[in-house]
Amino acid sequence: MNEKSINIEDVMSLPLDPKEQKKAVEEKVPCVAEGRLKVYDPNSNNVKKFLELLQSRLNRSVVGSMTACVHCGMCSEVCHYALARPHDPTMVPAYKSDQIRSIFKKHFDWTGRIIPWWVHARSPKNDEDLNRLKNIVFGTCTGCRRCTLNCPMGVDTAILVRLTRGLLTELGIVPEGVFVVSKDQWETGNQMGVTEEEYLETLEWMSEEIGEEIGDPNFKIHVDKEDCDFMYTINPREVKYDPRSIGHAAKIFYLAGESWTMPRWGWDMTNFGLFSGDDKLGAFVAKNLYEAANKLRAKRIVISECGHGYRSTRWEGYNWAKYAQDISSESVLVTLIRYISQGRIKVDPSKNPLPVTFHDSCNIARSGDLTEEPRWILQRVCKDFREMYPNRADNFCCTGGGGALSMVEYKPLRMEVAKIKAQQLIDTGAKQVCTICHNCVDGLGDLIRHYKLDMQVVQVLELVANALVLPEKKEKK
Amino acid sequence: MSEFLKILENEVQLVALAFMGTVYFLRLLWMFRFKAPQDFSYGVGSSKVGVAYSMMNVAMPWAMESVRRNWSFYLQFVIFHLGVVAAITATFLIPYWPQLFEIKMVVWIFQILLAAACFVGILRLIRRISKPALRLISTPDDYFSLVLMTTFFASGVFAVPNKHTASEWPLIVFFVMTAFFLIYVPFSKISHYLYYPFTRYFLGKVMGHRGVFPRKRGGEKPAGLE
Amino acid sequence: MKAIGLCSHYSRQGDWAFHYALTLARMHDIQLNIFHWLDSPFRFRRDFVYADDKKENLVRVTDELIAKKELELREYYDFWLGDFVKVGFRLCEGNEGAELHRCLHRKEYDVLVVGYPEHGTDFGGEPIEKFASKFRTPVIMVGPDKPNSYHLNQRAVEMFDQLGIKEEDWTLIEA
Repeated sequence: MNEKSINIEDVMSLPLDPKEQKKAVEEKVPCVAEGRLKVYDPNSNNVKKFLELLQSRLNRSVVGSMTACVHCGMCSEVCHYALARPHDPTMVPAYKSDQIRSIFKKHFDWTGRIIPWWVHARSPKNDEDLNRLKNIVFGTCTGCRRCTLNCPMGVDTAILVRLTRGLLTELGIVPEGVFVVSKDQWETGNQMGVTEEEYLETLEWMSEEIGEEIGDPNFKIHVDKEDCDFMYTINPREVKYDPRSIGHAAKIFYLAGESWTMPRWGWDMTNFGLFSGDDKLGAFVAKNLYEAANKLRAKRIVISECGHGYRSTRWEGYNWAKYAQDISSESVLVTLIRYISQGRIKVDPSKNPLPVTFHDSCNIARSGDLTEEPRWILQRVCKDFREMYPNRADNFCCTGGGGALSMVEYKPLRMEVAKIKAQQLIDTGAKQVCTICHNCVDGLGDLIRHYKLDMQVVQVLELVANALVLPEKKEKK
Repeated sequence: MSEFLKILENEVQLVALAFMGTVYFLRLLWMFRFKAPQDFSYGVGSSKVGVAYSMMNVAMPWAMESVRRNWSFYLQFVIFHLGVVAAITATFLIPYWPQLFEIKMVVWIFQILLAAACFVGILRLIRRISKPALRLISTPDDYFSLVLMTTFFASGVFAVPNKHTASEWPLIVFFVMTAFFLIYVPFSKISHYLYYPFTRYFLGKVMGHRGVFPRKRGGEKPAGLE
Repeated sequence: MKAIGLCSHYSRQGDWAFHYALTLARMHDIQLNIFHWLDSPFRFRRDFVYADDKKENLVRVTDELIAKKELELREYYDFWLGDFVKVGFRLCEGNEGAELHRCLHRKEYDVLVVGYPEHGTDFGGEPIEKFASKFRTPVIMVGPDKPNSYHLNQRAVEMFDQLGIKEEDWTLIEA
C-alpha cells in the first residue's frame, strides 16, 4: 500500500468549475431559476455575502465549537486523513475547522477583532480564498465525526465543516458534483434523477420477480396504499443499481405478513442537504417523506439501508424542516429484528457460510444509535461473523462519506487515505464486509478495487434474504 | 511584609478578579444571545444522561480513542491541571491563610504539583514547536498562554514557601503574574474552561437524545427486541 | 419471439454475439435491439462516464457525447448489418442487470444475447454465469474461445429448436 502521496496543494488549488451551473441557468432549470439552488456569480461581492450568511447561521452550539478549541491536536490521532498522511499537517481536523474559526474570530470574537494576528483571525479576501475553503471542506473531510467524539473539549468539527459547506453552497462555490446532485434532488425529489416511471417500473418488476420466487402470483408491492403498518422508503441507488435490495425487503415483509406500502412521491430517504450543508434542500426532501407518511396514514416510517439517509430522515430532517415528529421512524434493521425475534421469519445462518465482518457507518454509529442491531442480526444469519477493530462508534470512515462519491476531483486523495480502512479490512481475514449504508457500499467497493482486496461488499438485507427459510408451501417448485 | 506586597496580594488581586468576573459575565451574556438549537425528533435515549456523560468526559480517559492511543497525554493533562488548581489555590491561601505554608508537607505538596506542572508545560511547548501539525494550527496566543502558564508554575514553586521576610521577589513575581492572568485570561484560549460546558452540553444533549451517549461497548439490547 | 436483445461490447466475444444475434434476427425476421452501456465510476452522478472500454479516462456527458457515442455504435455495426433494417440502438446507464430487466419489462426483447469474455466476468455486480442462469428470459452467451461456442440458460434450452444452434455447440449455464 505504498503509493506516491498526493501533493495537497494540487487539491487545495483546484479551480471552481461552473460549467454545469451555467448550463442550468441557460436551461432555466426551475430550482435555479427560482433561487432555491444558488449558482456562482463572479460579479457579486461573495465575501460580504459569506460573512452575512455566517452571522445569520451562528447558534450557541456552533459558537461553542468555534471558541472552545485549544489546539491540542488530539484530533490528529483519530482522523483517517491525518493518520494516512502523517507528513501533511493540513489534514488535522483542527486545521480544517480553523478555516471557518479564523473567520469567525475576525468578525465576531473580541480578541480576533482587536488583535487578529494574535489568534490568527483572518477574513477571506476574494473568491479565490473561498474556492480554497471549498476544496478544504469538501475535499479533505468526509464529516465522519471521529474527531468530534475524540475531542477532549467536545468541539464538533464536523458541524463546523458542514456549516462552511452550507455557506459556500449558498454562493454556488461548490464542487460540480455537489451542484449536479443537489439539482437532481431538487428537481426530481431524489438524488439520482430517477423518474416516476423508472421507479414504478422497478417496483412492478420486483413484484413479478418476487411473486414468482415465492410462488404467489398476486404478490405486489403496493404504492400509495393507505393505513398500512409502515411506509417503506429507499435509496435511489436501489432503483438504478441494486433493485434486488428492494426485492429482498419485499420478500421479507411478505413472509412476515406485514402490511406496508411505498409512496409514489417522497420515497427517497437520502438527503444531499446533509452533505452540501443546505438545510433548505434537507428540509424539502425530508418533508416530502414525512408528509407522504402522513398522507398515507402510515403508523411508521421504515428506512432502508443507508447511513446518511438514516441520519437525515430519522434525526436531522425534523430539525431542518422544523417539523415536530408525529410518526415514529426506524431503520429496517429494527424491523428485521422484530421479525426474527418474533419468529415471523426464520433464518438459517449456514446459508451465509463466508466469513463476514461488519463496517459501522459513521452516520449510523456515531451520529445515530444503531450499533448492536446489525450485529444481533448478523450473528443469526451468518455462520462466521467477525468484528473489525476498532468498531461501533470508533470505526473508521469508508472514505466515501460526506458526498465524496459525487466529487471526482478529490478521488485520488480519498483513495490514498483509504489505506487506513483497507488495512482494517485486511486484518479481519473476512471475505465479505457487510454494511448498512449504500454510500459505504460504494466507498468500500472503491477501496477494495483500488487496493485489490479479496473481498466483496454485502448488505444486511441481502444476507437476511439469503438466509431465509421459506415456508414449505411457498417454496418454488 | 511590605505595604506594596500586601496591596499586591489583596486589593490588586480583588480588582483583577472583579475585572475577570465582569468580562466572563459579559462573555456569557454574549454566548446566551445566540439561540440554542432545538430537536424536533423523537428521542431514543436521555438528553440529560447524555449531557452528564459528556460533561464527565474529562474524568473518563478510556472513553476516547485519542486518549487510549496516547495515555501519556492524558497523564500530562491531569498533572498540568492539578498544577493550575494548586496555583490558583495558592493565590488565595498565601494572603488569607499563610499559616498553612508554615507546614513543610503542605509546601512540598504544592511545590511538587507546581514543579510537575511546569515540567509538563515545557514538554507541551516542545511538542507544540516540534510537531508540524501543531505548529501549523498554533497561534501566538497558544504559545504565549503555554509559556505564561509554565512560567507561572515555576514562579509558584518559589512563592509557596511564603518566605517574604527573606525576599519578597518570588511573591511579587507570582502575584504580578496572577493579576496579569486574571486580566489576560478572558481574552485568551485559557478561557476554554468557560466554553467547555457549552460544547459538552450540546454534544451530550444531541448524542444522549440519539442514544449514542453513554457510549455502547457491546452486548446492549438492540431496538426491536420486545 | 418478437425481438432479440444484444448486450453490445466492443470485443471479440461481443462481435461474435452480435453476429449470432443478427443471424437469429434474420432467421425469424424480427427486431434486433442493441444495448450499449456508458459506464461510470459514480453512483450518485450521471454526468461523467468512462471515455472508452479501457476505463482510464472520464468524459463529461453532454448531448454531443451522447450523439457521438450513438453514432459510434451505429457505425460499428453498420457494415455487418448490411440491408437488415429492423435494428434499434440504445445507450444505457446504470447497473447492466437492472437496466436489462427494465428493458425486458418494457418488452424490448424476448431473448438476450451476450458476449462471454471469460468465466466469472463481472456483470452488474455478479458473475455473468449467475446473472444469465437466473435471468427471466432466454439468455445465450457466446464465447469465450470460439464464435460457435454457446452457453444457454434453462429458458433458452426450452426453446432450443428456434435458436439455430448445433447440438454439439452448446452447454447449459451453471451459476
